[in-house]
Amino acid sequence: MSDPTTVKKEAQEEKTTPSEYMTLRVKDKDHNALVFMVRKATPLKKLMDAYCVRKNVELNTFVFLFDGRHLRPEQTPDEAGLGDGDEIDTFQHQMGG
Amino acid sequence: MEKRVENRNKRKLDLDWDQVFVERNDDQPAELIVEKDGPPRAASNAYSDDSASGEEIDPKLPDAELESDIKRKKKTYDTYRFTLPDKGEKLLREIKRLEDERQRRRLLRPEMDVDGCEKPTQSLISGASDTYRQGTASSQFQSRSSFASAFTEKMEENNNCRAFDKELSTLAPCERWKIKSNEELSHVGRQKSRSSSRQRPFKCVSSLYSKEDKSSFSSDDQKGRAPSTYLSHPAVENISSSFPNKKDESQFLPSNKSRQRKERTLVLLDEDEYPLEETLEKTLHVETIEQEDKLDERMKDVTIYYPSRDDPESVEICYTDITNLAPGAYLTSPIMNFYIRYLQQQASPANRALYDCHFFNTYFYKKLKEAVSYKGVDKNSFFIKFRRWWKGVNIFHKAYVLIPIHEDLHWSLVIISIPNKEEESGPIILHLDSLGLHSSRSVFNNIRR
Repeated sequence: MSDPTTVKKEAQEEKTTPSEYMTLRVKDKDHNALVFMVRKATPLKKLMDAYCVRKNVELNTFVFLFDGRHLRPEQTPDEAGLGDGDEIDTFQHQMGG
Repeated sequence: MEKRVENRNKRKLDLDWDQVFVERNDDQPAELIVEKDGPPRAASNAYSDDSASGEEIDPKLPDAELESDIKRKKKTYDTYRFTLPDKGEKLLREIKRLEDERQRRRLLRPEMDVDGCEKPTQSLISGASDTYRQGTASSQFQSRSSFASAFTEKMEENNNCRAFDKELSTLAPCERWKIKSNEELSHVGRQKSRSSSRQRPFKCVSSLYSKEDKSSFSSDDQKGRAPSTYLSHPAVENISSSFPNKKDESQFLPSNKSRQRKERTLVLLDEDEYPLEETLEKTLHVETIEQEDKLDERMKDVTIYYPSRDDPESVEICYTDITNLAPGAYLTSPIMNFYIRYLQQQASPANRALYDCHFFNTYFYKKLKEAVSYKGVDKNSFFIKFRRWWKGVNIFHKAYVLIPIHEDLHWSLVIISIPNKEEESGPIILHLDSLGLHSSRSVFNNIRR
């Protein structure tokens, strides 16, 4: 979190050049969103980990979906087709019988 | 007289077995058969193991159950022998196999202890079954008289064993590939009975599912079970109840073994260098075990993507997810999504039935509920965003839309049947819920779309 690539909660401030960074809203099931500013070329793993840390849960607790598609940790936002301001949904793994 | 001999101990039994064997292959000298059975086993006492017996092995054997089963089998054999001489012979071979299994298990045990219970490695699955196929195929084609070929054959056996082992223990996911290559595999199934590379697979199987093995051994109809029977089981069944199928598999494997055992002897008869072979085999085997252990450790954290890493719609599934397929365990979303993805992968314009269906993933319903219950002002934009979940697909042109529902630790399914345009009736929504836990609210929600 202290990392320069994943920046502050609830702050959409555009600190740097917009071309290099984008903001992504990561929403949980209760519509609480955390806003991350990420470098477009940084793998999403960083964001995912930061999110989990922020939520005080173990890594890999959540599944990250964008438009219903799974996001993979090693993808960069660009590869995943994420654009500035896009929302990422998080789900916990479901278990059932 | 034979009966008496068999009853006394295994040694006699095996000798008898060899006799039977000789009868069936008149041109084979019995001593050679005995010797040649040895090499595939890694151990130094392979010779005595196979040829005859068990006395020295028995005390070392941890599994008492196997012991008792062998005994029981012998009794059965005795009884059957009188009524059905032919069957008796078969039983005899089964007993022999049981003994072999016991020996192998003994050999395998150190490995098993390390692993706990042969953890499967998912990312290897497809590769594994490939190897397996290749292995069997190639071993079949090899000229079997030279030492070199036999040696490679053994290498393959090792590989095959590993591969198959994994294949077996990861039955459910693997099933997909199996189904895909159903034809190929059943072909392999046929090969199994001919090629000699079946011994090791047998070992692994029997040690993993030894209990099931035993129960199945008592029946005489094992041979009737073709591998393809198993392969034709629907994958769904495997997911929900992978164990019964494992049982099936372990039933037919041994039966192949018995036939193929005969082959083995044929294969190796001309060889003079079996002691060297044994040593090599031993080293090889040990190496393989080590590799496997390392691999297993590494595989624990491995995540694979299906159908491929680059596929935008890929789903991830990881090694540990396999534990969720155990009986009594909850099914988890990665498994579900994997299977959904797998089903969709089969869909093509040619495959009409599947092509007409659209599957949403397991998170869809949750999101839908959210969308429906969303109270914000920007509800419309919410829906517009939500539509991106099925962008590129006109769901109303599909015949069926399937939505898995997860709520309160329970899975159910909604099927929306969308009629053709010419029909008057509106979409029909079916909610399939085994426990009746989920309310028809889902139906209601879906109608709104």
